[in-house]
Formats: sequence, structure tokens, C-alpha cells
Amino acid sequence: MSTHDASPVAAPADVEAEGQVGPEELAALCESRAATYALVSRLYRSEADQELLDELCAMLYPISTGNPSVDAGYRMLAFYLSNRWDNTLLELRVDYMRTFIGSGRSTFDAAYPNESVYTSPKRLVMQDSRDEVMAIYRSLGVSQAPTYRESEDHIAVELELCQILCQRCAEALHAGEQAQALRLLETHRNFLQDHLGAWVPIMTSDMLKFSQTDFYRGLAYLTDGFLETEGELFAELFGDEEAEEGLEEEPQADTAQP
Amino acid sequence: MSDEPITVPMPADGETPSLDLDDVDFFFDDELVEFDPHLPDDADDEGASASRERTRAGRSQQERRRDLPPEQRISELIESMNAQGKVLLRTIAFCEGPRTVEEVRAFIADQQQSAFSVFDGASITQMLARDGALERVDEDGVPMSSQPNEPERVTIDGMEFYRVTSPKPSYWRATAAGLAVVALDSPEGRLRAQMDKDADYDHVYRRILELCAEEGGSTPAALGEAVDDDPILEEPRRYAGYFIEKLERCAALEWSDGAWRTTELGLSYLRSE
Repeated sequence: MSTHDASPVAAPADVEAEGQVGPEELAALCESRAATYALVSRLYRSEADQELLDELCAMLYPISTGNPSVDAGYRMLAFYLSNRWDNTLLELRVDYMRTFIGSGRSTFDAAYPNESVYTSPKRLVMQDSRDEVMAIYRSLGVSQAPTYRESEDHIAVELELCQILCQRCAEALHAGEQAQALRLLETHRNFLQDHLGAWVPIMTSDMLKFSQTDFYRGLAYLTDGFLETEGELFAELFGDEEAEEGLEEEPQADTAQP
Repeated sequence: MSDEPITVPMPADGETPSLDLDDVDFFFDDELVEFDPHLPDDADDEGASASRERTRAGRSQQERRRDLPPEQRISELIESMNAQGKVLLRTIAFCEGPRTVEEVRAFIADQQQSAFSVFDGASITQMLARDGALERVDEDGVPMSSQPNEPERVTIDGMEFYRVTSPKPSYWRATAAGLAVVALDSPEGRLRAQMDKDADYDHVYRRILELCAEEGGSTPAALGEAVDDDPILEEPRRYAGYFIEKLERCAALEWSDGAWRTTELGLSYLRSE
């Protein structure tokens, strides 16, 4: 995460340019996507601390990824961090509280980072969405660490699931297990469509109302833009049968590369 | 990045997910079929309406407050901070010339030795800056807000990136509005106004000031014992703590070394009339 070799976002241009996606190219893309999911998940998980701040300051932020929201998000983060000072951590703690927790006076007091709030009529946590994502986690053989106190439908947890799906997909591709990789991509696409994509845009819109630092406002833009690029990637991979078959078959003996 | 919130038992080689998601029987509330989170909720639910109204009202109050002149915001902040108000005033005065962040934090910590507060130095300076009493400047006194620092643009392998840069060191400095509030602050005026307002309780105030002027000061318990049974305090019911708080806010009493002690201002009031 700290060098340009691990730039958080690789634009899907490689996919479009080739028309087909080689397994190794797709694996590299999945690893890059996993890094971005990890970054964004961490920024939502809890308030920034000095260690995170130092890591963020050591990172390089792409100026032009092809997605205006991602570009805006990275720009705001880079500018905010370049104006950090002695009270920056305090500012970020206050803004995290203001953005995601609010004052508790009403259910419209913050950009609550839980899916249930946006998908239940009374804007409550621990509702049906949480049960649904828990079922998905179980089906994938993952569970929430007991030390982490947030609900399973917290955005940080859902993003980390996506990170895991990307990592597993990359590993499957490196191992030549293309059927497994395809299943993981399908699972990821469905999760994006049915969960993250269904509520996060509302939350990020709320973030822009409540956040007062460009750090968290930038995070809202980055999140929006990144999920847009994810949707575009899945549309490219699964949009039609030709795109679906765009994954190269493993090379057979004596056959030319496509 | 630091520790992961999700444990990841990795599947064995060749292992595939054991569950086809199409077959999963999710918990599903039929009501959700009718509910579109993207549509505005026009509040069939009165609770939701009231909830949104409170939020809007709260934000409007903040917006209105931001429209007030800085002198008024600063005065209201100091008034709202009760006993810490004097710490805020002294901090503004301390920053008449540029001071490093560390210097100001140390100053506030020293002021709070005998005046415990849940607000540390960083929070207090933040509040003062928010309300226009302090501003951040560079070593030449130029406001930091007028010279934002920009990240560096670098090109690596044909791709352009922002590289985060380090800003100039910043200092706290009192604003003209902050210094004006300090200049107008008159503990004598506040004490006189309080005594005029509570004229019926003058003998109670004086009794407390007398006890706290003795060697070693006086404790809250001793003060309570001395005045709580006064007939004038029965209706409305008041206790020594009410008067102690008023006297402290007027700088006639201060807490130090485990006791309430009368200040010079409090002594001068005792000597009056």
C-alpha cells in the first residue's frame, strides 16, 4: 500500500483494451482491487490513528484513474493530508463521530454505516440485511472476529468481504482454477448488486452532508467512484456471453495464444 | 494495514464453496419488498418526521450560530463553559503573539491544574478557533487558511500521482475579535451584576466568602453546613453549591489545594458596603 507498485486503483483500461482478459492480468487486477477494498474498509472501520495517518501520507494517489469520483476522492485526501497539523487526529476523530455516529438525537443525524439502517423502514440496525449478509459470510466460510464489535452489515465488514473475494479470486487464477475464479466473481458481482450497491450511494450522499473534513468527504467520493468501477468491471466481464467467455481458457499444448 | 476484523479460513486446494447462493433461504421480511430506500420517506411514521425535524432544527441552529459576529460567538462560548470560561479567556490573552501548539497546550494544562475539565488543550483551542477567537498562522504571522499547502505531482512509469507533502509549522494567535472579548471582560462587573441580581441572598454570598477567606479556605461540606439551613434557601430550595458556582464564575472564589478560597476580587467585595 505504500508504494506506487501497489497503487490502489488500476483502471479497467487493460481489460477494455485487450477485449479479453488473461488469467494473470485478471489476477493482478484482483490484487489491486483487494488493496483498494482494504484501504477503504480501514477508513470506515474506526477513527484514524497515527499509524494510519503515517501510512496514508506515505502513499501515492493516482491523479487520473478514468473515474471522476475516484479522482476527486484521491485529490481531496492528498490535499487534506498535505495540510495536516498538530490537531489533525483530533479533527478526524471529531469528524468521524460527526459523520457516522452523530449526536443521537434522531435517526437522521449521521451517515450511519450499516446496511440495515438504509434498508429497514424505521432505519434501525440489526435488521434483515444483517441476517442476509451473515448468511453470505457463512456460505463463504468466513466469520467476524470476536474482537470486532460492529454489526456484520457495517460497511467496513462488507468491504472487507469484497477484499477477501478479490484475494481468493486472484489465488484461484494463479492456481489455474478458472471455474473457481468465475464462481467467486459471480458471488462478488451478486454481493455488489444486492448489497453494497443498493445502499452505499445513499450513505455516501449523507456523508457529504455531515462530514466537515475533506478527508471523509474525499472518502465518500472515493467509495462512490470505486464501486462504480467495480460495477463497470462486472458488466464488462458478465455483460454478455462474449464478455463471459472473455476469460481465456488455459492454453492447451500446441495452440496459439488468442 | 492493521488487524483484520474478519477471520479467513482459507479453503483447501481445489475446494469450492459448499453453498450455491441461489439455494440459500434468506431471512426475508415481506415488508422490504414494498420499501425502496432510494425514495424519500414522506413519513407515514410520525416518529421519523419528528426525528428529521429535530435534525434539521439542530443544523439550522448551528448555521445561525455561524452567522453571528465572532465577538458574540466567543462570548457565548465562554459563558457556556462555566468555570472553564476563565481558562479560555486566559488562553486567548496568552496567544496575543504567535505561540506554538505545544506551548498553548502546556499553558492550558497548567491552568487546569486546579480546574479539572473534560476538555483538553487541543479541544479548547479547537473551540476557540471555531468561534473565531484564535487562528492558525505561520511563523511570519500569515494565516494558514490563506496559503493551503499542495501535494507534489510525480510521474512514475508514465502515470501521474499526488505525493503528500509536509506543511509549514503553524502557530496559534489570538484574533482581533478574541482580544476584544478579553479586553471587555470585567470580573468586577460580572460580580456586581450577579450580586445585584441575587440581592436577597447577599448575606449568604458574604458568609461563604468570609469562610473561604479564612486560613486554609473551606470545603464544600463545611460551606453546606454553614448555609444550607438558612430559611431564605427553602423556597426555592438552594444549597451552597449554587452560590459557590456563581462566585467562581465571577472569579470571586477559586479552587486550589483541596479547598475553596476567596480571591482578591472576592475580598474586595467583602470590604465593600
